[in-house]
Amino acid sequence: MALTQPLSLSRAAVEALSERLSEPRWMREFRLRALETAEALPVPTTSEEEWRRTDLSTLDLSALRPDPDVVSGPAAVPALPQGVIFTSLPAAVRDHPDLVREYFMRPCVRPDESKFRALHGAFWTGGTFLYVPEGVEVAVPLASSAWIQSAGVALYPHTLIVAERGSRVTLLDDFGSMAGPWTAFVDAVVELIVKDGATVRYISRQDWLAAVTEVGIVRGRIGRDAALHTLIVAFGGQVVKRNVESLLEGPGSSSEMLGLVFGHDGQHFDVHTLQDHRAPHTFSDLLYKNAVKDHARSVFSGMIRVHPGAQKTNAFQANRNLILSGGAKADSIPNLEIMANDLRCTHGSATSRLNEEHLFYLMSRGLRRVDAVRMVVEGFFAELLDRVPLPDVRTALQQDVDRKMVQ
Amino acid sequence: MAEFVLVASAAELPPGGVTVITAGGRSIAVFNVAGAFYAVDDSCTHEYAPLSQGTRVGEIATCPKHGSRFNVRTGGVLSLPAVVPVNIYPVKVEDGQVYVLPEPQRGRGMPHKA
Amino acid sequence: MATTNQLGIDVEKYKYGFFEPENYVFKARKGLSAEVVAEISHMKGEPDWMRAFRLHAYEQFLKKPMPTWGADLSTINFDDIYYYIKPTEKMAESWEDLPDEIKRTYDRLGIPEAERKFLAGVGAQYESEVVYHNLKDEWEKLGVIFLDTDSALREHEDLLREYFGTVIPPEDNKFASLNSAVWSGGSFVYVPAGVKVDIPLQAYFRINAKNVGQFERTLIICEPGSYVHYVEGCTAPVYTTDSLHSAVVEIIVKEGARCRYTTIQNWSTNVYNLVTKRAVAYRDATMEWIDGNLGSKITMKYPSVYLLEPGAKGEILSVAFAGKGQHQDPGGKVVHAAPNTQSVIVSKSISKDGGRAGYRGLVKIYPGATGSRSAVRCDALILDDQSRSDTYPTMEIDEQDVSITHEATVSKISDEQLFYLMSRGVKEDEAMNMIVRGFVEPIVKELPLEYAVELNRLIALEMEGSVG
Repeated sequence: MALTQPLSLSRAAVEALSERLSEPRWMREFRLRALETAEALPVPTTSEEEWRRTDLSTLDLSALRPDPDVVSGPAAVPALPQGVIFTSLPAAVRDHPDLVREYFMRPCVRPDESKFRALHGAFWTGGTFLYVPEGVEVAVPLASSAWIQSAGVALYPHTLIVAERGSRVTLLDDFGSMAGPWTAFVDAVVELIVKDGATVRYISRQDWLAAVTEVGIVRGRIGRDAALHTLIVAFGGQVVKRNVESLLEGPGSSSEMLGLVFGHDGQHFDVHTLQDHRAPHTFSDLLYKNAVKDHARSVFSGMIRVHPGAQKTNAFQANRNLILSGGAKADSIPNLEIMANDLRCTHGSATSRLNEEHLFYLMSRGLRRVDAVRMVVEGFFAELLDRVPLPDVRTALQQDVDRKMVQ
Repeated sequence: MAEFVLVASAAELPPGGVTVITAGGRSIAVFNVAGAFYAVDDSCTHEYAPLSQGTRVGEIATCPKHGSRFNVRTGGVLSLPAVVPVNIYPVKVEDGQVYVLPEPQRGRGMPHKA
Repeated sequence: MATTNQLGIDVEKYKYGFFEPENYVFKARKGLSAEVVAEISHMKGEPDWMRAFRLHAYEQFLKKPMPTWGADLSTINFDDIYYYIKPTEKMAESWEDLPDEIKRTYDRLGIPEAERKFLAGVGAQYESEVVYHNLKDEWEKLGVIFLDTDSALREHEDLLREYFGTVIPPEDNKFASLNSAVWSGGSFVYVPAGVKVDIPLQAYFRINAKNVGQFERTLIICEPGSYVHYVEGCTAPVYTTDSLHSAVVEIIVKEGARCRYTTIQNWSTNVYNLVTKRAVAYRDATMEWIDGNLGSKITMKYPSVYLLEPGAKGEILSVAFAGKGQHQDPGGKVVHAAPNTQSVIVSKSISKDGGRAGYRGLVKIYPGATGSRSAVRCDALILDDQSRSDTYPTMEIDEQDVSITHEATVSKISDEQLFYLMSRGVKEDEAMNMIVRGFVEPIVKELPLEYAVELNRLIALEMEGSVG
């Protein structure tokens, strides 16, 4: 009899994982149900529109060995206002089971959405749980991270933020690895639940320094008069396929969506965004900037969807791509599906190259070509970074961009 | 410098036949057209479907996916939707054995151009 | 050698195994089979290679999947369609020779009058066959050929053999396969080098019977330095059952030539309009598609320009209007395959009364197409909260040295605009009309006056009853 799933993805593997984490029964059952779902779902192929440009057919599921020593969770926990929970997700399962049961992979991202969401539900390890009670403002930005330290592993990090009514919080989520020629697989899920009147800023910075294949989703549900700001940065990995979604569910909700990709060598980034306007008087503003050099490829596929009844919507979407080398490639697919009529909706996309005249001008001022190119790239990303109100983050990202320039 | 690699014996590849080898990291389709051997990339320049799996009549190979036609002798495009000629490879026959040199050369020729 | 045309379709393979019908059939039976395809070819007295082309295409049609994107095509019943209806015994020499019923139809559409006044030539297709075709002498003397495609196959077989199916091969997509199998009628246009046909050639396509498919096949060849403007209009009466229109249009624009192709599509709202249109433009050539889609139940049509040599230019102007029960999914595609090529796409779509309109397109830049430029602009106007607009532009950029821009807006008629006009004494419905006219103006102004008037009139008709 043929095995339908490799041993590393078997029921026994799930049970062993749950056992080792001393999880309560409900979580073990959740994992097993997710595994059943995963078994029933196929690995997406390039014949599906969403996966047309990213081919995972060579991904060897049997090689996916969940990382036993996952390093992820809150980086440091400062003094926090009363009632705020900022802890690793496994600790939250133990200490705050009711909250986790209510929010973890239920109202936001669900295992039955796709093969990879289901695998995540079955094998998630580590991650961060952040709960902010009603009306509470967390003044300092919080930080968490996920780190890969062994080769050939599969990592399923999970970030869950629940911001109760009128609360405010910022989380910096960092994803990285040791440098090396080895491979790994990452299947990440980020759930951001932003209740009425709350404000959440979520910044994710990914810098795998190895040949990582990453699939993942960042999804926010945004309530009445609430605001979600996301900045999703990707520098590393071999093949990266991500979805970033803001679901504007409450009237008056808003979302700012910023994205930065810088690819080099043969890196492949495929980012799908969704601005989903489900209520009237909602606002979304998206700016994604991708720079590619060497033989890197970036794909931006953005959808603005305005549902019937979501009148007085304002939705903006801009994608700018900068191609720095002859072999690099940038695809842009900005889509609109509009089912309401009283709205303002625009999208724009522009792809350009290094402007030789501009470079020549800078070089005539005595700059070396490499410095002139760096200035152009910095200028390209400045429009984006200027919108990040955290000076430390801005500086760090600028340094990352500089480092990518010489990689 | 790449060297000629063995494809098959000429007897194994009869007229009208095709075989595919992997050499130099590329899939190369070798056609027997009425006794003459021609080699091209086994990948349509439009959406990369294998040309060896389409129909062929004479020197014309048809992509199985959208029907782009290529002349396997010149690599030239004979019908859209492909717009880039397919790479061709030198072939030689020695002692009844067919060899291909896995060094791609640009194909030439566009439709509506003699 | 078995090869008999550019496409390497094996004639021998299709020579035997199909019965030869004894009698001439006026109306092929409903549904499609290899026999029906062979029958159509037989009735037309075609050469073997065309018969092989059709049968090969039919095999492809069976193999190809239905598109899974775009509009809902699940309600098309391929077995409930007449694939070939011959309305008259032979083509008419003059409008007077046509059967009264057909002549009345064209009189009502004003075509004989238009021919006298401002056209270089006219073709009129009724169901499957072209019933009238004429090119004014002055153009014929210059070597211009303007024929229905069936006659062209008889009179200029070499040209057809050389070009037919080289731009859109029968395997391209399911509906191109279908057309290639059962095509009938359409126009063949050949413009010799340096000849500029400075007034339009026009074809009118009419579906009159129920459950009929119209599958015209048009081929336009512009030799170097030539110019032609081809205009097509399409209409059908409204029946309770659906019809299928699935044309293939292939255009070759050689060095320095220019071709403009204008469509004003006003099929009745029970016609599936699934058309493949593609042009290639060589060095310094220009191809322009002007595509107005007002009628039909569903339109999926993406006129394409393949810019194959340096300096080639492509322009696509698209207007779509979707009213109740209509889904307009038009768009355009430009492929930049050579350096210093340029393209412009402008789309204006309007949706109303629950209709769905939009734009779907692709701009592709191949490696090496350095210095290429493309600008895409899509604007949508949604007239009520029941209607829907979709914009799906795709840009695939494989080259660094290029400049590509895309912009899109979706808006409604603002109360301010309406209030302003009404305060000037304009009634509300007229004010709406004016705003819509202003919205499509950038494209309408590209049309010859007569067609601009027609398009505006059709839009005004669509707008009737807009104000509750």
